[in-house]
Amino acid sequence: MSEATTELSGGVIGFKDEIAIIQSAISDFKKTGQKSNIAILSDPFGGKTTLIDEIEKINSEIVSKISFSSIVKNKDSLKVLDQSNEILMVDDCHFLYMRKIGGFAIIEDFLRMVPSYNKLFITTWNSYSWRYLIEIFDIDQFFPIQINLPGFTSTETKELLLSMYDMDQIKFVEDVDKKKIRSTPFSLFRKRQKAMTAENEVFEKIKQVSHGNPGIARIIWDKSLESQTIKPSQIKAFSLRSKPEYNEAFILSIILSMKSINKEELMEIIEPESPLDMILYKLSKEGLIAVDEERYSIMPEALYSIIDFLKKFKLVW
Amino acid sequence: MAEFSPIDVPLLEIDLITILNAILILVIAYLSARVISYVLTRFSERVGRYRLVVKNAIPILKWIIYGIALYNIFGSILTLTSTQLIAMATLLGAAIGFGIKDLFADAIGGIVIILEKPYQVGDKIKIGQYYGEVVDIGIRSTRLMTPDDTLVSVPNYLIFTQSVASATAGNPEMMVIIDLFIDPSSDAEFAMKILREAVMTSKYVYLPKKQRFAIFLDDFPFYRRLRAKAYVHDLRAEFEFKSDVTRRAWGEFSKNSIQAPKVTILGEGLTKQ
Repeated sequence: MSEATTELSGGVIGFKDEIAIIQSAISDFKKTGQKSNIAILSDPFGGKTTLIDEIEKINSEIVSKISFSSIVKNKDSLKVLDQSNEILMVDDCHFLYMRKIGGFAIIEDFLRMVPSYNKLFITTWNSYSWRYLIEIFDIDQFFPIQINLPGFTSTETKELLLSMYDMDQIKFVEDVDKKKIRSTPFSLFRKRQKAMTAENEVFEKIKQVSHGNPGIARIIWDKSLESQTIKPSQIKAFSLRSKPEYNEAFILSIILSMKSINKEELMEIIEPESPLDMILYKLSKEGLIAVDEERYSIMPEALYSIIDFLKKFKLVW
Repeated sequence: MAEFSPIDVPLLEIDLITILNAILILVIAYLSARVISYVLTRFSERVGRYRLVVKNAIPILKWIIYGIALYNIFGSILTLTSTQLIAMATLLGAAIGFGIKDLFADAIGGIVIILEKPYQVGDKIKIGQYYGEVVDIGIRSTRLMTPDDTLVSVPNYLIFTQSVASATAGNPEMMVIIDLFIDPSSDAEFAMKILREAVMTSKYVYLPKKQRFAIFLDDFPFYRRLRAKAYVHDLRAEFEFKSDVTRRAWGEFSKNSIQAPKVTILGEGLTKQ
């Protein structure tokens, strides 16, 4: 499943501050040679690839970009770094390790290169892999500038989602009885809320359900839209039907940290006697993971329910 | 010599209704304590990292429930005067002296455990000859679940006479020490790297909050000891964690010709000379 884009023909939506920080680091490096390597961190579907693509577009003549799409197993894959420009962008660096014995040789080589090469490294990482690598390699020491991509506001979400349509092409239909909502006992204690239009209610709800994650917002939008019409009640938060067991939760944490992974790679990570096929089938049936070209990834709608659950097990933090 | 004048203690009239009321209060207290204990135990399993916080409320609530029950029995139903109260206390003192002093010591021990917290529900402790997870702190005894799944009731008064070792002190995470022994001729540095990776890739390891792990090497006459110190995410997975790291580390050791110590018999060879 590809990462949804936040790109517009005239640039990207959001990330203005982040682009400014990166451009400033590039400018300093060009002027003074002082390098401050950058790590861009986000949850899956959070827009880091879109951001790095935008940076590449702005600085197309002076940067080289490498993207990894699966776990790197061959050290020769890093040789390409030698021939790159002085500003090097490496997308999806979490593919440089595998959580198994002997699975860290590539990232160790990469981390030896980062301080020794006279190049500015602009890297993107899955935020859960990043936190894991901080604990085992102090990886944050190699990248003085860390940019955690913020969630979109409901206005940015609206701008992003409506950018694909002409004005008034989408019809927003009010279908929630607000009188009923006001009659609940809790509403007595709430501050009086401003009357919200169906349109604003839709985007506010999408923002809440997606946690401001632009990729997930787009997927929720696509699934809720019917014949160019959308209703607030069609936007529903995902909830886990049953609690995964510890082995299943561990596999979910690996898939979450890697963004996508195939079965052979999972088999190398988990213990051989684990019934992997059965677990993957169960997780898929529960709507927690998706399979695309034999690669497993977290189902976007389920992402934040899964993260909350894995945090309870302390498998991610 | 001063003349001894006996205190006139008015007779306490206890009728059947009073006794039944007292029994009813005790039964209600007992049932309430059981229900609260059950509900909070179930709830604690749903709240993840706050499991032990919820579980530790159980013994405190039990004491409060039984305290209220006793207060009601003595205060409202028996309606004792101060003289009767003193007389009752004297009788209680005599009873403690003669027969129920152990029970009394257990109850006091229970209060000390609740207040001083040498251990809490959910901790892994060693008290006396027993090691296990504290599953309940009752009025009379503390219940431990041992690694071989045996429920042991340890009298609370042991807190006054025995030292208690708590491996977790209220935290759900726990440090686990894993020892592996290799032959001195094997590549110890590489073995340490393998053990380090076995620890940090284990599904049971707890890494955040800078509770890092460490690997140590120690030299002995006929072997080398590799020691890993790391935290397990939940103290209930202590042995699974040890087993997982040991199994995977030895799997890699055997692939990389790192061997277990050879059996050495002292004096072997000297007799042949």
